[in-house]
Amino acid sequence: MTAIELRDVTKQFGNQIAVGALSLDVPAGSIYGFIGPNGSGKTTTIRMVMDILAPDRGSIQVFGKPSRSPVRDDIGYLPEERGLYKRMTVRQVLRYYGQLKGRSLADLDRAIASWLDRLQLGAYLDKKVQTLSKGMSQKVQFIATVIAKPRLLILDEPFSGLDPVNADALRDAVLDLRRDGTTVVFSTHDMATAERLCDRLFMIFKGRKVLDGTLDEIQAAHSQNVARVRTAGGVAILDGLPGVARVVDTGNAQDVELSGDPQQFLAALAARTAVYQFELKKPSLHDVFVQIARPTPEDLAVPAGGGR
Amino acid sequence: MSRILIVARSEFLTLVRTKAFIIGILMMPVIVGLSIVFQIFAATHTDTADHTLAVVDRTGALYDDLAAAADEHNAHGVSNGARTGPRFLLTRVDPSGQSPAELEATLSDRVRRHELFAFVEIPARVLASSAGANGKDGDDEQLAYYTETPSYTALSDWIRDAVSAAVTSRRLKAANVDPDLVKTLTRPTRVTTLGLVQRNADGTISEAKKTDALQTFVVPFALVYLLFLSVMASAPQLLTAVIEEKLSRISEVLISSITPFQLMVGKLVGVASVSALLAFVYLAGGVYVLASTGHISAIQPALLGWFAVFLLCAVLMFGSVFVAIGSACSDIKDSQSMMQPIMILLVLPLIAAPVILRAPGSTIAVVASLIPTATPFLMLLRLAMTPPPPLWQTWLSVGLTLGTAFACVWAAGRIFRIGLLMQGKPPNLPELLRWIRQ
Repeated sequence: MTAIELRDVTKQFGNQIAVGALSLDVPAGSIYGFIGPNGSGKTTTIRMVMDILAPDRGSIQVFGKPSRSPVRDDIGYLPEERGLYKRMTVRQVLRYYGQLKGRSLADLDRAIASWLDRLQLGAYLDKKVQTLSKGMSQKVQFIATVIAKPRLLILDEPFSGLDPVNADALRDAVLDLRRDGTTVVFSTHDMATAERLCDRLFMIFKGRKVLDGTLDEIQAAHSQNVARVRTAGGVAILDGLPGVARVVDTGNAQDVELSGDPQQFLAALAARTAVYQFELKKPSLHDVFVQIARPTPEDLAVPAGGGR
Repeated sequence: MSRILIVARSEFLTLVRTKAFIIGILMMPVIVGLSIVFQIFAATHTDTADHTLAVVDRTGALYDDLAAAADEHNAHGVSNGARTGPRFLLTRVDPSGQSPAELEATLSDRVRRHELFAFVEIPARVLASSAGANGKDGDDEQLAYYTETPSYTALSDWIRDAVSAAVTSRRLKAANVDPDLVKTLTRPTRVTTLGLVQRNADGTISEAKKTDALQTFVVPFALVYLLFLSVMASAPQLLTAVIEEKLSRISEVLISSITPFQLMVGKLVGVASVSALLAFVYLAGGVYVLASTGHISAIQPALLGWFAVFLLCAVLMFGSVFVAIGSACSDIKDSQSMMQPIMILLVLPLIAAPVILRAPGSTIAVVASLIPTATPFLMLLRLAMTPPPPLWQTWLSVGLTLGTAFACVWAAGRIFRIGLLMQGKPPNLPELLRWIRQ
């Protein structure tokens, strides 16, 4: 089943195309990473999925229905910039957010107790939000997002600013929710976390989809034919070796960009020196991101008449 | 529970749980009560000191009359054995043997040493029967009152009146006119203001009732002021609440659960409830005070119904404008300049109220009370007065105001929907109009 289905969705603000002809399928029960530079159209896409913004063209379906109320009740959203009502108690905030999703107080009170207990916040039930530390507030906000048991969870940088212990606790919670069938859309700039956590990844750049697939598929598609080698001869032995386009010396190993077949290069290298390590390097998500989003000279040029 | 009511309930509880609201709602009657008590007390008790006045009587004839008048004044300023007013103690100064300048300098020094409070010179010509060229007293007939506390006018006023009375009496006697006869013949005529006589169904005629300042002025103005207070205590809070929610992205989370219009209406219902609570507390207190002092007839029950209608109109109208401003701005500073015209619209009816109070049926009163932003205050004021405005004017004003209130809510909803997601520079008027049309 598809949790989110976008077909040819376009959204324009004035002359600026925020999202252009975007089609996307987020499978139910998956953790789907949304990546892309700032201003690339991620937030606009998320807002359209939540029916906060209407697309100019195209269609959006959530769990097979147009993304209108009451489908909204199945979506939990954690924005990147967070805030809670500071003067309310933790209980009041969580009840309020849960009731707005149409849940009964009895259900909510049970869920509140369970989540607070799980994230070691049980003692803070009747404390005002303004008395909590930043990490605690962030955990309360996460609970507010999941308290109504959404089938689709949209998390924008959920772990930013958290210490490793709390980040792990939230990550475990996200994985448990996925195990229980929740679909998670995970928007982040933290490529390492996206690699570890996401089943599939989607990258939007300048309003267009530029990546969509599993990590393996993305890495295979963006492989740059780079081998990491560690040899007895060190960097000097690579000098003049056929099939070498470029060498980056990283100390006791070298990243070699190959112009030809890796197996022929390995044979030539082994004929010259003892090879301790030979590994065809996959590009990291970080590398792929930078490769796509690196500004071009045209991007950096100051527009005529603009700039100071 | 409907989601609008969930938002309204949360908004209501957030507002009424603040210390500022609790202190405000409790303290306002206390502050008003204390200030009334203080003014009454101050009027009767603060000025109970003795003030010694040196009298340089160049007529040589008036001092005894003035001393008698002072004794009479001092005898009046006592209640239950305690002084309630100042005592004026006169001391005679013989001007002979000293130049006027020397005498004034000596007396001024005595005032500075606090032996005297002030001194007064009564010129010899004050007893002259002929008036100055313009029919008034000449400069040489004027009393000269010297003091280092010119702001204290009770003594100067008293000595002016006492000298005038003594001089008039002497002038009348000099003209062979009996002062007592003059007093009797020139006694003022009083007016009793009455309402109209009522012809009953059984043919009998009810007597007209005396009008009451409480019913004529105090109740109407108090109702208008209470309406203003009730709106001001809650509606502007919407602006700060919306800006806070927008900045902290709470609003984005909220509108992922409910529509922006539901959110806005919930907020308006919440603040309208706060205003209603505030008004109810004060009205109940006011009615209790009127009932316990036997003045309950000063307030008509229908007036309370009108109060509720106009309170609702005012809160919807101004509340939705504050919501729209809050959603369009990204910080409080930006909102200040947009707030100013709205605050002027809110305050203008209060400034106009005294004019309406004097002439409730005048053209200016009718026109002003039909302007929707002023209607809640000014039509309420006219309804609280006699005669009440014609029924068509009342219903026309209610129709216009309700229409305007709903138009404000609709337009604010359009602005709110877009403004909540906007960051940075606040929109200008053309942009706001475009948001409304979008």
